[in-house]
Amino acid sequence: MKNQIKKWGAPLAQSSCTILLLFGIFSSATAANSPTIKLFPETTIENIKQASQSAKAMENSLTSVIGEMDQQFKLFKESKCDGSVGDPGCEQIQRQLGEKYMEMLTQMETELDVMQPIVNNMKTSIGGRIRNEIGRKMTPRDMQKMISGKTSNTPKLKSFSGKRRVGRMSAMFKKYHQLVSRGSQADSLAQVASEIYIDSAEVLEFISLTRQEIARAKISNNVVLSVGRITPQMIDTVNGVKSIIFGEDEFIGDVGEAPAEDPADSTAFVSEWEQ
Amino acid sequence: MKNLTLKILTTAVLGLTLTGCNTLQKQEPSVVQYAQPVAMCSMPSGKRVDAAFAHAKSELSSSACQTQYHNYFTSLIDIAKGDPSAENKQRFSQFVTWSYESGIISKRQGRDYYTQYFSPTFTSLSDTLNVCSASRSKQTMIQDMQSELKMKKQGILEVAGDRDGYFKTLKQHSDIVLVLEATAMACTASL
Repeated sequence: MKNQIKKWGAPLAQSSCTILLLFGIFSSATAANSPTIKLFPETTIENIKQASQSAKAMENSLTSVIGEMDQQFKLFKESKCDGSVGDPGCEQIQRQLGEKYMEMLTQMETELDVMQPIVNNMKTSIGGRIRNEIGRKMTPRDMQKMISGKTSNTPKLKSFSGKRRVGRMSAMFKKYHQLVSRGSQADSLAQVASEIYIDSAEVLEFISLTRQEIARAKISNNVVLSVGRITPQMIDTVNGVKSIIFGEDEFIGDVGEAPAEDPADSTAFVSEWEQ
Repeated sequence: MKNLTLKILTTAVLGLTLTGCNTLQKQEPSVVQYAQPVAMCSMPSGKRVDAAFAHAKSELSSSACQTQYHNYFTSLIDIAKGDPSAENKQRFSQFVTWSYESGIISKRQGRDYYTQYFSPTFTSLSDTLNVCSASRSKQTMIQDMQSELKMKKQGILEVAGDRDGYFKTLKQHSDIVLVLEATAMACTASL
């Protein structure tokens, strides 16, 4: 579970980075000479909005149960129950923890059932647009022309380095929705569309793996409840769910700082040989 | 008996002649190699960029050295790395113009040489097939772009000393790869 979450953390992190970049892309949406394409029709925008709402619903639904579990974990540790045998108070806390854990898994399973078709619709819709508008209408060289006009004024990548918080899943979709509804006709959205499409595919893969994991966890938790023990796997799962829903601190790695814009740049030498 | 001896002799003479021809054919490339004045072509060396360009032009004026144009170009790149400046871009542009006007390279080759090293545009991207069709060889395309990125690092960053320009090129490279990956995935999903 933890590995899946880590795996999923990366696209979330990338998405946040993309969002930063996109503000720059929007500011430079004046590039001429690039083919006009329509990647975000109303239905696709609506799909993204639904995904955002669905993620928010999952977040709200799990917030209280996770909060209660946190309290019980805290109590368990403070009571020095870890490793204790035969203490009725500790056994009661452990049993309550197991029950809450089951409640969390069940709620998550229910929310994922709702979320999966929504994300799938979003992926199918964006994938279709990418395929028709970029894949079939453009050559790789055309695609480069379309992108090149949009990358010159991207914001400085200072925030790419060091530790930062990866946002909530609902916030990620919400930002995507805001971005695409603001400029749904702009051809500069190829990068956003690509990012959302790849993220959606990974989210779907994650949902499928999580469901399998929930099924396994439910079986093993029944055993846990019968023997009354908190396992490291349980703690890992809870932490994993928290990181998906609420975000987590993740080291993104230092890609270096973008140099400051040089006002003399426009006067830089341009050769007749440059393509 | 006489006829048999004649036949053996004829076969032997024919065999020797053929063997001789084969030997000559095998030796031919080395004979040709010795005949070419390759050794006369010397690559530019030293640390002075202007002197290196002058040397390269002088050598390339001889048609015997023109087949080694690529080696001259990369030698100049290596030497210019020792003295990075914005002027180097202009020097290379003028060198490409001179090479074209002297009939050493074609216009297309000139554009490719200059763009591969000094422009954020990737010449390795296809302009004939659409992205869906081209993405069947996506890995090769990405590898070619990676190789070209290394050339751009040398030209834009190490020779021209243009950190901004190189950063933009890196950004453009990652954007292209992202859109290419997503499009390839979307094209495959429809199959």
